[in-house]
Amino acid sequence: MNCAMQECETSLVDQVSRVEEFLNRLEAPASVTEELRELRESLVARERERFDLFEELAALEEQQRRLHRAIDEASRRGSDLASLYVATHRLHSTLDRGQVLQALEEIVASLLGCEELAVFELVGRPAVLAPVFSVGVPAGRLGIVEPGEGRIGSCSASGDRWLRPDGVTQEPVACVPLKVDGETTGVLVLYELLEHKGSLQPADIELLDLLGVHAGTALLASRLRARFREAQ
Amino acid sequence: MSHKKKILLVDDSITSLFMQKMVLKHEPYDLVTATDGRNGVELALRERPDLILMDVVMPRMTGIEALRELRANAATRTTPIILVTTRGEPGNVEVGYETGCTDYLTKPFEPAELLSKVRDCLGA
Repeated sequence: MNCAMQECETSLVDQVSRVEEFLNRLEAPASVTEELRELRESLVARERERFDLFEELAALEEQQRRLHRAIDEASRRGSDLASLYVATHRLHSTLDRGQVLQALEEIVASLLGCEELAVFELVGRPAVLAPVFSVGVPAGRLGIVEPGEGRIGSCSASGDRWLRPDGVTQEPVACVPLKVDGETTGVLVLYELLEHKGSLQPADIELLDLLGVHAGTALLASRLRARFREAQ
Repeated sequence: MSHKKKILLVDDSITSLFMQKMVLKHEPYDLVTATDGRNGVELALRERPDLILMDVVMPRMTGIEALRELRANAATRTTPIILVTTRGEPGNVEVGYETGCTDYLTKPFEPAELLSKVRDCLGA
C-alpha cells in the first residue's frame, strides 16, 4: 500500500509537471503557473518527509527485533540460572547422606532428564571406585572400577568431565568427576537420558559441572557429619 | 477484594516442587503443595484449587490414579489438571489425556513453557 501511495504521489508530481507544461504552451496566467509550481514543491517536500518516516520506522523495527532477541536470551539465561540455584540449594540444604543422594537423583531426573545414574566414590587404600548409589541401572552393570579403567576410571584419574559423542551408544552419556578442593573424590555417571530429552545442551553441561563440585562437597560434608555423630 | 487464583502442586520430588515454586512465585497465584497422590486428592477437595500441577510417578497414589479420582468427583471434575512428569513416552501421554488431564508437560521443562501452560489454563 505504501508503494502504491508512493507511486500515486510520484504520478501526481508528474501530472502536475505535465499540466504546468501544457499551461506554459497555452500561455496561462502567471498566477496559475505559480500555483502549480507551489503545489509541486509541496508534493516533493511531503514525499521527502514520508521517505524519512519510512526510514525511521525501519530503524525502530530493527531495534525492536534486537530487543526481542535480547529479552529471549535473558529469559533463557534466567531459566538456566534458576536450575543452577535450585540444584545448589537442594544439595546443601541437608547434611544427611541419604537425603543428599536423593537430592542428587531428583536434580538429575527433573533438571537434566536422566533416570539411569550411579555415584561412584573412591574408597580404600589403594583407592578404587565403588558404586555407592544407583537408580535405574541393572546391578550387574555396577561394580568396582580401578582408577584409569574404562570411561569411569579414566574420568576419575584425569579429573575431567567426559561426554558421549553423537552416534555412540555403548558408553554412558556422561561421566562427571566429583571434586572437593580440586581433588576427585568420586564420579557421577549418567547412563542414558530420557527418550524425550534427546541430548545434553550447553546449560545441562553447566549444571553437570556445578554438580561435580557441589555434590562432591555435599557428600563429603555428609560423611564427616556421620563420622562425627558416630564418634559422639 | 480480587480473588487470587490458587494452584495445587503435587509432586514427591522436593527439587521439582522447588523449581515449580520458583517459576510461579512472582505470579499472582497462591501455591499449595502435596507430596503424594493421596495427599494431593485430599488437598484438592479441601482447597478447591483453580489449577493442579500433578506429577505421575508418586508413592501411595500415582498421578494417574489421583487424576481418575479427581475426575470422578463432582467438585473437581472440571478443575484444570496439568500432568508434569518425566514420563514422556507417547503411550504415557495418551493415558494421561484419556484419563482426563487438561495438558501434559514433560520434565525437564522450560520455565517459560510451564508459565505459558499455567496462564493458558488460568488466563494471563
